[in-house]
Amino acid sequence: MDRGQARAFEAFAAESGAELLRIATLLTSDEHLAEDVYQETLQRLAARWSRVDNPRAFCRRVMHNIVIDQVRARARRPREQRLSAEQDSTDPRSADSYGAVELRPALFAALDSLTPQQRAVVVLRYFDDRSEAEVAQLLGVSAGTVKSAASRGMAQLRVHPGLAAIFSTSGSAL
Amino acid sequence: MPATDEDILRDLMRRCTDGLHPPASVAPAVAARQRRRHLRHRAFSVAATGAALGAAAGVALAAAPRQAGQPGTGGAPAIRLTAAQRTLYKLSATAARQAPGPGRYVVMREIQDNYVKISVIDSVTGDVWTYQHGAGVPAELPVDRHGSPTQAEFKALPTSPAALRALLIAQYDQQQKAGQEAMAAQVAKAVKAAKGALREKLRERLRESLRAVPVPLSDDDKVFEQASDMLWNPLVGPRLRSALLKVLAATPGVMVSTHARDDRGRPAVEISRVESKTGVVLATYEAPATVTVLEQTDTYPPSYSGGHTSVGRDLYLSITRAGAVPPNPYAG
Repeated sequence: MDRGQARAFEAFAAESGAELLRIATLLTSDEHLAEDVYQETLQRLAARWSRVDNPRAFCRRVMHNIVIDQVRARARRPREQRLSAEQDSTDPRSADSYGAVELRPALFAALDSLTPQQRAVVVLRYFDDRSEAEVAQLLGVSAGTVKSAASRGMAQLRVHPGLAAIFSTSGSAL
Repeated sequence: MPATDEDILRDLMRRCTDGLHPPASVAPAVAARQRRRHLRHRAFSVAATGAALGAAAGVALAAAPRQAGQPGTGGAPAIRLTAAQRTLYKLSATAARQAPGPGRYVVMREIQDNYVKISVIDSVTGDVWTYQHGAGVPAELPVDRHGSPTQAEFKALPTSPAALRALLIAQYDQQQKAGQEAMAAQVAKAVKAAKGALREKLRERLRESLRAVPVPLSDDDKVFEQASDMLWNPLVGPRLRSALLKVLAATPGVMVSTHARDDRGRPAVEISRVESKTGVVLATYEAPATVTVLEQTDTYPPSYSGGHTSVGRDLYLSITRAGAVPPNPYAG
C-alpha cells in the first residue's frame, strides 16, 4: 500500500465504516466484538487493497467469514455469559413502539437464535438491502439457499419471544 | 409504518444500530501498519532480484563520483560534526564490530498492535515463515518463498556511503515506478474482465490511477525511508549496517536522541526524520550496545490521516539465530 492507496483506503473506511460496523454488530450481537471484526476486516482489506475491485462486497464476505470462524471457535470452549442477554427484554414495546435501546437485546437474542448462515442472509438481505443473487454471490452459496435461509430465518424471528409481539401487533400479513 | 415483517425487521435493525460509529483512529492505524508492511515487502522483493540490484548498483556507482563530498550526499563526513552525527558514527562503529550469528535461521519475535508475530527468515534462501498469536489472526501464514533478500545478496550491496546513498535513491524510484505499473496493470485487467456499470467504474479508477502523481519525496526523504527499512532486516550484515548509519549521518534533517526508550521502556537511540513534503515522522529505535532494531514507528500527522494523528508501530521483542526452523509455538 503506497501513500495514494493509503489515502483511498482511509476515504473508503470513512465513508463505509459506520455501515460495516452496524453489519458486524448485527452479525455478532456484541458491540465490542463487532469492533474487533470491523478492525480485522479492514486489516484484511488493506492487505489486498490494490487487488480488490469491490471493497464493499469484499468486506461483507470477510466479515461473514470472521464471524463464522468465531462461532466455531466459541463452540469449542464454554459459552460466555453475554451481558446484553441478561437485560430485561420481556416487553419490547415498553418505551415506544420502536425504542431502539430497549429493543436491542431482544433483537440480538432473536438473531442469536438463527444459524450463522441464516443470520448473514437476513442481515444482508434486509439490513443491507442486497438482492438474493447478490447475497448468494457474497456468501458463495446458491440463490435457492439464500431464499430458503431468508424464509426460515424470518419464520424463526417471527416466533422468537422477544420479537413476536412486534410482528404480531404491526398488522403484517403472517 | 412498515408494512411487512421484512420491513419491520429492516427498520428494527437500522434503529438498533443507529449511531454506531467505529473509532476514527482504526482505519488510519490499519493503513499505517499496512504501509509499513508494504515497505518491508517492497524492500524484500525489489532488493532481492539480482537484476534490480545490478541496475541500482550501476546507477549508484555512476552517480557516486559526482556526489561524493557534497553536503547531504553521504560522502565524506563534514569536518565539524553535529552531536547527532557523532552519535550515528559511534553507532556505525559499534555495528561494524558486531559478529553475525552462527545459525542459518533468524527468528524475530515482534508485537504488531494486539498480536505477537514470529518471523523465521532463512538467511540462505530468503524464505520466510510467519507464526502469529492473537485475536482474529491465523496462527500461521503460508511460507513466503524468497520473501527476503538473502544474507549474500545484502552482502553484495555497496558499503561506500556515497554509492549506498545513490543506490537507495535509485531503488526507491524503481520501486515507485514498478508499484504504479503493477497497479495500473491490475486495474486494466479488471476493466477488461468487467461488464456494464462496473466496467465503467473501473475504467474511471484506471484513469485516476494513471493521473495519480506520487508524493514527490526529496532525495533525503527517500534515503531515510529506504535506509530505515533496510536496517530493520536482521540479515543486513555488520558492514552494510555500519554503512547505512554513515549514510544517515550525512543526511540532512536526521534527528538523534540518545536517551530515548522504546514502547517497552528499553533504552534506545532514536533516529528519526520528518519527511519534508508530508510531515510524516519515521523513527527507528536502535539498541545502543548491539545496534539491532528495537522498534520502528511511522507517525502520520492529522492532515495526512483524516484529522487524526496515527502511529504505525512494530516492536521487536527478540532477534535470535537458530540452526533449524523452529516449530510454531502457536499451532493447535
